[in-house]
Amino acid sequence: MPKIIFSFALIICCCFASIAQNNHTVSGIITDSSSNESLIGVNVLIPEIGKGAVTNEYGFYSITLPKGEYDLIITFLGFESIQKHINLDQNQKLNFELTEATETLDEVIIENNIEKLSIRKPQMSINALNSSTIKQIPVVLGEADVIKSILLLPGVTSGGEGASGFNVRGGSVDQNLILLDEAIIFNSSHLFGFFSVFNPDAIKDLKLYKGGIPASYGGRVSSVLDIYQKEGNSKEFHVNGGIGAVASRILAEGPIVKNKSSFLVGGRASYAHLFLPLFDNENKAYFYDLNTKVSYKVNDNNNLYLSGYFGRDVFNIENSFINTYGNSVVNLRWNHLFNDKLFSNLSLIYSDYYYGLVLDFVGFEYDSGIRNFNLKYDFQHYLSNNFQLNYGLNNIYYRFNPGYIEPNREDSGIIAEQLTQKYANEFAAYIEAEHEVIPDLTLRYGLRFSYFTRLGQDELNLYENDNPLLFNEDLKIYEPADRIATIQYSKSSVIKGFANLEPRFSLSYALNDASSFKASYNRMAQYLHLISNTSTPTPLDVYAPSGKYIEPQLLDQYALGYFKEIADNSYSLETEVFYKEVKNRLDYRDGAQLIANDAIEREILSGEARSYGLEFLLKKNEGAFTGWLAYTLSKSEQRIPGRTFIETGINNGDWYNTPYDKTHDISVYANYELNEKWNFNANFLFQTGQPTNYPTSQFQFQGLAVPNYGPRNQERLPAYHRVDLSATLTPRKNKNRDWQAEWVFSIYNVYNRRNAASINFREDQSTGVNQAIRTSIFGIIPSVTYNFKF
Amino acid sequence: MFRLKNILFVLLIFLTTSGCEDVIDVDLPNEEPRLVIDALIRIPEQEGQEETVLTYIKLTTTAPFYDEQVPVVTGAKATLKTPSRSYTLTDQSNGFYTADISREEIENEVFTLEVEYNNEIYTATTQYVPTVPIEYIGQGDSTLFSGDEREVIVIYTDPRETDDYYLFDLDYKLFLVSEDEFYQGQTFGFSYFYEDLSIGTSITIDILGVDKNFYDYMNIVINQAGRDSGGPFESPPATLRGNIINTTNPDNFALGYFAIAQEYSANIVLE
Repeated sequence: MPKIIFSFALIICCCFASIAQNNHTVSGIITDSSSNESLIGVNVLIPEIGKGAVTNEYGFYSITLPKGEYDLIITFLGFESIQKHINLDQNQKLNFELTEATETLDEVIIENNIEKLSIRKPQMSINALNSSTIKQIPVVLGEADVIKSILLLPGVTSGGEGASGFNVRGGSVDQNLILLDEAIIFNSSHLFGFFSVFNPDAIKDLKLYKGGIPASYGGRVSSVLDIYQKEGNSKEFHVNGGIGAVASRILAEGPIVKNKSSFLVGGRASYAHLFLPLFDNENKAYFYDLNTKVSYKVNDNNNLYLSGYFGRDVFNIENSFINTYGNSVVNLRWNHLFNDKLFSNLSLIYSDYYYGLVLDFVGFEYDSGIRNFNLKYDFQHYLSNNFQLNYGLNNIYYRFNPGYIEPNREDSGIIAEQLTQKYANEFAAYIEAEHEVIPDLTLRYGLRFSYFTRLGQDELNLYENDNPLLFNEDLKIYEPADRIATIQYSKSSVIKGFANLEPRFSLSYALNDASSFKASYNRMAQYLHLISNTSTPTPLDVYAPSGKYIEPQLLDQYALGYFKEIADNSYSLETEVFYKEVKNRLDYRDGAQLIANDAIEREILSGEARSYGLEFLLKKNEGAFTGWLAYTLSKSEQRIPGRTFIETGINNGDWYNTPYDKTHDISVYANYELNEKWNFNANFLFQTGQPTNYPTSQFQFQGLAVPNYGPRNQERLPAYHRVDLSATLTPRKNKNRDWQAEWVFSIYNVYNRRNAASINFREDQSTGVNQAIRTSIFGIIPSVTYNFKF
Repeated sequence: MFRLKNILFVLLIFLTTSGCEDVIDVDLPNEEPRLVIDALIRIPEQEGQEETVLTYIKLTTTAPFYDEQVPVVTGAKATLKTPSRSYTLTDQSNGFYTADISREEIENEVFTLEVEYNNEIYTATTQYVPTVPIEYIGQGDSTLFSGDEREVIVIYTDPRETDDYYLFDLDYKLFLVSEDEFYQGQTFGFSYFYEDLSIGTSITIDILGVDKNFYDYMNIVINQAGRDSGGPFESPPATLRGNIINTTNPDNFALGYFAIAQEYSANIVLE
């Protein structure tokens, strides 16, 4: 490993040496004039030479050009453009403040141009949304929701009715890397998926990478959802909030020292009586979360951000069943400009996912969680206007607590026990170049090196021949092996290490100013496996780190795309094809026991997964009527062959559909601005039904009628589809006063489609007749939300 | 501890009742009928018990899922064997096959069940598993979810040193499995919440000794048959292979299980 770090250093030194001397750099930060909030994705253009730059996640840009005079144009949709003449005879720092264009321009334009595709950028397979688009998409119970919004994009499907997780290009939910201000979020849902954990008021920008994933990201093989929160207004104090039918939210931001430091505090809570009307006793189900952030501008070259997130869900049924879970994150970041070409960000992140359970009727209390410490140091090096280098280091230390069990009262027979805690470390270093080779051809090429070590733990199970799962030849089933011993390792020793080189490559070839061809390849490694017993993420999911018995997942993905802007970018078209393969994909044996299991290696088998598909996205970007049509045709399957020729594997070792295989996925989103007062939205979703199992027969055992099933995922649930509508009323009296208000009226599932979340097969208790029972969660749901800001 | 998933069905019900359920028509695939051997032989412990026990097994076949009944198998030949003796079971012509066997033999011998059906031979081997008596059965006044359940509390003491597995037959086609992983050697109690039972209803609860494999099997049977199958805490349903092997034609396997369990019972009338 030291060798590799050394060669990284070497590469970086060479690049430093290559900087030409007669060039000068203009750089700076671009902010919103009303709040000093840095703006992401602003275009800084020099039309006369056809060059430009885009601001990064912290609003920074840097352009290096030969000495001379230039006209800079700063454009960002929704904001007034700025034009500035510069005489570049020395390095210059130019910060810009953009003013929102709402009152002078047509109000229709609410989308930032980051949502438009960048024809010449090699990044493909990316979708970006800003918070105003997210807020307009109508969702269940009238609450804006990040996850529900990205489900309308091509290649993204839902884990099922009422599930907050999402599947990207036939991948599973745990294969998505979800980052909130650079911190990893393990569970993205509140109330079992009714809401996602992201407060829409606090979000500034989000990007979803489905392919061609930059080398700066790693650790998950399917996608990256990268969310940045606001820094807080350092000019004026403002409050905004919303009162909804199910939950309410409020967010306050303002300066601590004007133009220097700011704070942001936001909270959301649902009402405890949410489900109370359904039952006339003391049941409670609610969530709350809190976002806090303090930003401090030390000087022009240094910024500090301290942010925190705390969220909890609570279910309490008559005090006999109490379930609490949630994320907490503390995050300290330091932006530092080494010089006008070298931007750096150092992040120190602590994150904790907690899951607790009290079962009073068996006198039992259970606490579990994942804790991690994450250190990231990222550099963006704008070497010339044709060549940018990104490089960095990342180290994550994990502690997995599979469960601490204790009696919850004195007369309980439960004995306190700590299930064996697991420890791991994930190190990564990357370097990546974005290189404009000739004016029409831009390449991005990089390499990520990742090294995962499973660290020592108290009791590591040992099995005969190191085989935790035996095959019973007579019965043709897999059975857990007996532990022959356990072994203790010190926490600093390494049980097993995995090293992987992950090359990333993308290219963009501009056919002309309005269309381009892009291609990408990426390899990624994932060291944590979510051992989920179903396709939807329930909070009880068990994360298993790679180690002695489990190998990391390895992905190879190829994608090709054609991108076109039509009619001066009032329309855009994106089409892509992708193919991906994942090695060491796990599935569990028939009849696996996954929960509170100290030896998960005895329940799982390893195989491979593959998916391929075609994505199509047509967007209308301008005018009173905007929106998009997305269509995906895809296939996602996996195979778990037997380990020897005697074994059967799963489904006889044949390919079978993953639960995320949705052949057709259509979504339509439309937004119509009638006038300054009324704005209308609609969306339509259609997905092929999720693969599932239906019984092939029944048998009787001890009086029970037991459905018996054939091979896995041979059948499908009925197709999923629905239409949602919403209307936003902005009263005219808002103008020229401080108190701004709007009403959002929405109807979810307008034609009351009973989409099946699952179909269960069982005997009716009173009649004794076997039935197929459909569970559907959301019928038609009208709701009203009142949003305000001042 | 009771497998968490068995308990967590509460949560599932919570979710599903906030949504809604309805009965729908689903066309189902069909497969050829298979032999089903229900050979959980219960050895009840009671006062004034005889030296011999009437043991019985039940033979049926699988049927399409929507059929109201499963066909019983008559005319098969069933034998229970120990290393030294062999008992031919009497075909009662209603699917049941019976034999009288001495308690002492049952408790001490390894038994092999052999069933000959359609010229194929099915066998399975097992051994008696003892258990502990129910020390207390009583009614509590908590409710769980809908507010009109009836709480029944069951207490027993787990033996020290051994890993024990329990199967509870809670009457009304309700079953639970438990293992002592988290209450080794303790006096342990749990509450079960009955729905839709009125005052005056008599409930008999049986505790049965089972081994690890049968515990796993029953765990899946209960889930797969139960109201909570296929929910977010379940592994997806699968073909349920028990411990019975078709020695003539392994691919034409039988369903069901052969186990011999000591059984204690306790009764309560709801007040």
